[in-house]
Parts: sequence; C-alpha cells; structure tokens
Amino acid sequence: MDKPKENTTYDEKDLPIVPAQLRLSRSDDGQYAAHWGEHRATVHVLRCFPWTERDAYFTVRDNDDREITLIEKLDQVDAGTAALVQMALHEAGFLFEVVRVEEIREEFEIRNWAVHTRQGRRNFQTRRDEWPRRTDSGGMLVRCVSGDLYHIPTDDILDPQSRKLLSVYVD
Amino acid sequence: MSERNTDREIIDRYTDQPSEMPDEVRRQIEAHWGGEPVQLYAVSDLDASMKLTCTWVALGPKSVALFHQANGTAASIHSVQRDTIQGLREFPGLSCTQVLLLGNPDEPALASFRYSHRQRRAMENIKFILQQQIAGHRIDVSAADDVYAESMAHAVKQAQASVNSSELDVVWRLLAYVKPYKWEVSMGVLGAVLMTAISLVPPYLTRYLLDDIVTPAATAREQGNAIPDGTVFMALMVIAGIGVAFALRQLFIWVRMRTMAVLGELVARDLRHHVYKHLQKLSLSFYSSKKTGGLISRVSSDTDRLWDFIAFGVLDCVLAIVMLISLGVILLLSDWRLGLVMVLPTPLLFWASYSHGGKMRHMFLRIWRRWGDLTAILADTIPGIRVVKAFNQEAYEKKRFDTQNESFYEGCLHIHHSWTAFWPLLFLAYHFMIWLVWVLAVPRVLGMGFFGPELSIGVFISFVMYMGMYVGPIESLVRMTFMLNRAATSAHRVFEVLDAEPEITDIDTPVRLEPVKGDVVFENVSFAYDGVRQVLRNVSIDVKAGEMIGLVGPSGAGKSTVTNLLSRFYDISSGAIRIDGVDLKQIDIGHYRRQLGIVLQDPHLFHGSIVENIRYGIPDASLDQVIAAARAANAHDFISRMPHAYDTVVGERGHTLSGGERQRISIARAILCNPRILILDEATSSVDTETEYKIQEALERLIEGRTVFAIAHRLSTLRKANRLFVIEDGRITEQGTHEELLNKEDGTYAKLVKMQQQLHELYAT
Repeated sequence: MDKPKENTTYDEKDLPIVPAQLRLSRSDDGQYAAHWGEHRATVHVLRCFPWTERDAYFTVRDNDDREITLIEKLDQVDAGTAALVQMALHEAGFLFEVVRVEEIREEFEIRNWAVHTRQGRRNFQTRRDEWPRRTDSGGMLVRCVSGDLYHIPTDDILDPQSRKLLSVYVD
Repeated sequence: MSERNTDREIIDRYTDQPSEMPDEVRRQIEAHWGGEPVQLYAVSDLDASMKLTCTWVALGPKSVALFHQANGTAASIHSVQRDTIQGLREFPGLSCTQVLLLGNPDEPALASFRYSHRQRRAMENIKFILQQQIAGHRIDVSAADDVYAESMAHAVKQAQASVNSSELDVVWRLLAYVKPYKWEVSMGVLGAVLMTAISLVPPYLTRYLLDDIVTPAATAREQGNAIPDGTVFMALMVIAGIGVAFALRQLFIWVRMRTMAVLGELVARDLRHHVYKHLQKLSLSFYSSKKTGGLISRVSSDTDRLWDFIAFGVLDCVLAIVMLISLGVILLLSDWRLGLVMVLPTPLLFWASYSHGGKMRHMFLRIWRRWGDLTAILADTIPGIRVVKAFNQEAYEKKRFDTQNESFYEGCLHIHHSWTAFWPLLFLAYHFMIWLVWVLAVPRVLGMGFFGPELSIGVFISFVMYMGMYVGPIESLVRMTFMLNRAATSAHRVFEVLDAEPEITDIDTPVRLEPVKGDVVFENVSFAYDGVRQVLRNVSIDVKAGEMIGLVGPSGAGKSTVTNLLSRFYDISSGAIRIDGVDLKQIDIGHYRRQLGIVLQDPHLFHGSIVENIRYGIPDASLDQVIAAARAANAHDFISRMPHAYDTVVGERGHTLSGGERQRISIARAILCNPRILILDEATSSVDTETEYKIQEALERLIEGRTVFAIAHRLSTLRKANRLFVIEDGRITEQGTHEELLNKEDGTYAKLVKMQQQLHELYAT
C-alpha cells in the first residue's frame, strides 16, 4: 500500500469518524496510523475502561490527543484493524504480570516486594499505605513507588506460598 | 555519607539494575563515538517483546547510543547523530513508555526504546535535552552518574526516610539525646535496679520465715517442747521486712516511672526543638520534596512515639533481660532439678510468643488496610457532603461505609480470637510447667524419696514465688521487639530532617547592604530546579532602583522563578544576580530579605490577631505605624468595622476573611516593612473588580519609591510599569513599555492584550 502523506489538516468538526471508516496500519518502527478517506494520522489506542470493561470502548487518538474514533466493540472494524487494535492495546496496556510472589518485606515506611513476572524477576517497592486493590476483571493491582503497575492474577492461579504471602493484603 | 552514595545504595538495595553505567559499557560507547564523553544515561528496561532487559541509552554531545549486551554475546551499539533527530514521539502506556527518535518525515524512526516508569525520571532528562536541541537550545550536562543515581533513587527517597543506617544505629543515636540528663538517667536506672532487686527479696524472706522460724517452731510444738525464744519477734521482724520490701518496691517504681517519664519528655522536647529549628534553616527545595503532613508528623507524632520508647522501652528491655537471667539463676540455685523444669522450656515460650507476634502483625496489617479504606470514605464524603446530599446518595454512602465498617469489625474479631486463644494457651503451657514443678516437688517436700532429695517447705514456697515472676520478662521482651521497630522508624524520620543540609547559606563574611538601594541586575542567569530542566535560560535584566518591572508570559514560562531567584529561595545554576552591584551570593541573606517585600496571589495569614499579622515582619512596630500601614493598604476601614477591630483573630490561614481582605492585610504587612525591593506575584488575580480597584490603589501607594517586580495575568494592572518583560520558555522574548510592546503587532504582548480585550468585550455583552 502506498503510504499517504501525514495529514493533520483534517477538520476537527468531522471528528470523530464512525469506526467502520477506520483502517489501521503499523509501521516497522511500531507506529500506528489511522486511515480514513484521504486522511492519515499517527495514532495511539487506549482503553476507556481498563479495569471495568477491558473488551469494549477503545479510543483512537492522534498526536494532538484528538479522538479519531471510539470503537465500542471490535466487530465494528475490519478484522485486520481489529487485530492491530488489540496489538496496540497490548502495548499501551502493558503492565507487569506477576506469576509468583517470593517475598513481601515490611521496611521503614515502605513494603519491598520480590516477585517473578512474565517479563522476568523484579523487585519493587510500595508505600506502606498503598494497598493492592481488586479489579472487576479479576486479580488485583499493585502500584509501586515509581508508578509501575503489577497485576496479580486470581488467587487460584498462584502457588500456595504466594497466596499465603498475599493473604494479608486481600480479603 | 554523601547524597550520591546514598542514592547508589538505594539502587543496589531496591532495584535489580546497576547503580551506575559499568566502566566497560562507557568505554565501548565512547570508543564508538570516537572519544565523545557520555553526558547522561538511562536504562531502557523493556525490549520489543516486553521482556525485562538492560539496554543503556547514552547521550553524548553529538550522539545518542543504545548499548545492549546479552549474556555471553557481543555488545551491540546503535548510535544516532543528534543533529539528525528532527522529532521525538512518545507513547505512554500503563507501565511502559515507548520513545521514537524521528529523523526525516516519512522515514522510519532513527531509534526506538521502551522503559517502565521506574526509568522515567532518568529518561526524561535525556528527552528534555533532545527536545531542547530540536527547539534550538543547546544544553550541556555533566555529572552523568549523579544525575542517573538521583533519578533512580528519587521514588524510594520520596516514599521513605533515610535508609542508610540500621535499627540499632538509629537507637544508639537516639540514646545520645539522653546524655545531657545524667541525673535523671541515674535516678531512673537506680530506681529500676533497686525495684528489680527488691522484688527478689520477699520470696527469700518467705523461705527464711518458713524454714528457719516457722518449721523449727512447729516441730518443737509437735514434740511438746516450748517455742524457742525470740521466735515470735523474729517472725514479726521478717513479716515486717516483707512489708517494707513491698513498700520499697512501690517507692522505687514511683522513682523510676517519674524520672523516666520526665526524661522521655525532655528528650522529646529537645528533639522537637532541634527538628523545628532545623526546618526553619532548610531551603525551599527541601520543602518542595516533602509533603507538609509528613513534616508535621515528624515534629509531632514521631517525637511523641520516641518519648514512649525512651521513657519505658529501653529500661524495660534491659531490666527484663537482667530479671530473666537472675530468676533463672535463682531457680537453678534454689533447686536445679525444679529449676530446669522452668528454664529449659523458656526458649520455646519465646519462640511461641514471637511467632504469634508475627501472625498478629499480619493481622494488624490487614486491619490497618481496612481502617485506611474506612477513613478514606470519611475523607471523601465529609468534605463532599453537599454533593452527597445534592445527588441524594446518603443511602449509598451509608451502605459503602457500613460495608467497610463491617470488614474492619471482622478484622478486629479475627485479632481478638487469635490473642484470646493464644495467651490462655501460653499460660496453660506456663502453668503446666508450674504444675510439673508441684508434681515433682510435693513428694520431695513430703520426703517420699523420689524425684530427688527432700525439699524444705521454705525453699519450695520461695521457688513458687520466683516462678510467678518468671513470665513477666518474657512478655516484656516480646512486646519490646515491636516497640523497638516503631521507635526506630520514627527516629529515622526525625533524623532525616536533622541530617538535611540547607542549600542556601551565607558565606563566612557576608556583605550587608544598609540600606538596599534597589538596583537589580540579572547577568545571563540560567536555572533548573532539578539540575537538568532549565526553567530560565540566559536571562539578562538591568533594573534601576525605583523602577517598576512587569513580568508577563504564559504559565510555566519562568516568571515566578525570576522572583524566587531574586529572593534567593534558590541559587542560580549559572550567571550572576547583583543587587546594588554586589553578587547576591555574597550578601547577608537574612538582612537582605528584611528589605524585601512579597505580596502573593494567595496571601498566608497566620493564626492570631490582625495586628499580629500586620506586625509579622516588625513585631515591635508601634500601633500608629500599624494603622498607617493599614490605611495605605485600604484595610483600615474594613478592619475598624469588625467587632474586635485590629484584635480580631483570623482563623487558620485567615479563612474568616474574604480573599480581598486577606490581600489588603498582606499589603499592610509589606508596607510596614518598608521594603526596598517589592515582589507582587499575581496580587490582584483572584478578587472581584471593585476589590481589585481598592487593592490596586493600595499597591500604587506601596510601590512608590521602590524597585518593583510585578507578575500579572491581567495586563491592565501593569500599565504603570516602567518596563515590561515578556518571558516565554525561560527566555526574555520582548521588553519595552506598555505602548512600545503594543505597537509590535506580531508581538506576544500585543496578542495577549488583544485576547484579553476580546474576552472582556465578550463577557461585557
């Protein structure tokens, strides 16, 4: 496909477009571009409800943070675009997936976690008053002092030792 | 320990990445660049497949490089010339940010890297410098290792007080505070030692009474003989001795408790004094890195917790150890067979108590969490009660609260079930030991010939009494581990404040300007709050005494930074600021600030009367001077109308007054100080037109004959300025009088004035 020139001169009044008009492409360097009519814009895709409704309501936005379209369900776009939306969401929604909890140590004003994640082994720290919170979609989330999010799956997926360590922090 | 070493220690201790770029990596990158030095670096810790990795992103004067070396493979270096970078694109995600370095449009990105939020601060330094380069500003940075270490350690340091000393070090340091109170310490220790020693006397006297007085007398009577002479007298003496021992014990307890409680208060008072005194010395940069609530609790609740520890914790701990060892020895010496029954299971009792303590700690952690949820609801709904009522959500909020309340209650029940089950069990074990002593001892007292030789009734009874005292120290020592932990945490937080060094200090022989004339010169001043992101760049201003200068520009342009530097709240990164020709760093800062007046957008009034607030800068100003200042500030009339007039107590932060009234009191406060240099930072921006007029009128009186720096978004208020400086992106882009700048049709000032006029007309119609 010939790569149309970046066109950010589209009229804001014409936005958002209907999802069916949207075609998404991904360049080798990982950038996503939205195509509709004669227009093309580099975009990013975000979930509107990352924890309460992960499989619906995706907003496609350009570099000036204008909404190009709001996709309620992935069946509103063609299969290729839907696949790219999912890929973009995977990248944008990346967080550390904890698979095993090795240690949770209480220290001065912080809690030190040693965990194994799908991405590798990681140590992180949370404030003593920063508690894990349950998510509607299952599991729980912990935010470390740097702001990284760690998703800990539902208890029955974890080994007994991890569950025991976590028992203090969840009901 | 230096700040840099602390940062590196934090990185080593809490992260899985190096605390600085390895020499070999640096060497290879610099060789690849042909000798260019690494100026800044950061770690990209996520690869394209979102796995954890360690790719060094290094910035040199002309290049950016990505260095990666997997285990056992050759290093790969991807280098990009900085002058080919046309743009930077960032894709922030929940826990991963991707950055693309872009070259020519429609060509693939020059480089791409991903990183988690942990690396964000270090990465932002690199991004900032590249963005500035794209915008045409060149910034050179040195001290790459320090900047990296500070960036990586920042989040942990924000969450935690100093981490570079052990619990024991902190306790020793804390105990140094009792040194000045040798008399109190001696009395407290003496009281405690005597109390402990005297506690051991009644069982000994009981033994003597039974074995040496009662038993021989009883035996004599059984044999039909007379009671030996002096028996009754001796018995009465011993009984009296037991009574005296009990009385003395209470006396020593009183001496110990009183002196140690007072000692604890003395130390807590000294700590509060030192911390508060030190807080006054610290620079604004310290305050901007700490939450106000946290600092308040360090002076108040943390020092209070230390009182508890010093008053009772330390001595109780020492005494418990002494008591336990003494009792163990006495029991073994009284009868080693029975003594072993008590002494041998002691480690087991300790282990059981400690392990139960660990479980309790977990349970407490759980209820603290639930308590946090409960109080969060209160913190949410009570300030927002109008919204709750307006949306008729009282029932919903009640249900939300009840759910958390129930959850907290269940947590508490769990704790109560646990300790009420454990302590009876522990005492059951302890009583089993006592019962075993009886089982083994009674046949011996009766002379039945097994479990050992015959045992006198006196030895047995005194043994029983010592046994009763044996569980106390065990309980104390278990309790002490928690107290020690709590006190060490508080001490850490307090010492962190005491260890912080003020950044703004006077030189040894500072210059005093008496009085300040008001000539102000900024010579190529550059400044960055964090050492990297420059907020002011090469700003040069030459202001004559008595001039009024207006600072104009968008939010974040650097206007308030100019006034912060002029007040020497921060030291400049480069260039010089001269007051009456003298470098500001050479000037006695306290003396200089007394001749500086500041009126802020949100003036802070202290709790106290209006007269106290007006006199804040000059506490001994006469009442005539106060009234004159209030008149000049257009404040006298509204103050006089109040029932308590100048003696009206204004509430916390002066909230009982309107914004305009508080502003006029702050102007009166500034007028009374008769400052030579005056800073007006958005002084009229948050009041209505009529109040603004009154404030404006007051300000016009205030600025007469002074050098004035005024920041205002309402440009009409700056018409009287001799000169206006437009600051954009840290630079002065326009300067001149109001009329001169208005005539520059494409100028920023002219555009701003036009926009404000249009806005005014829009609302007027």
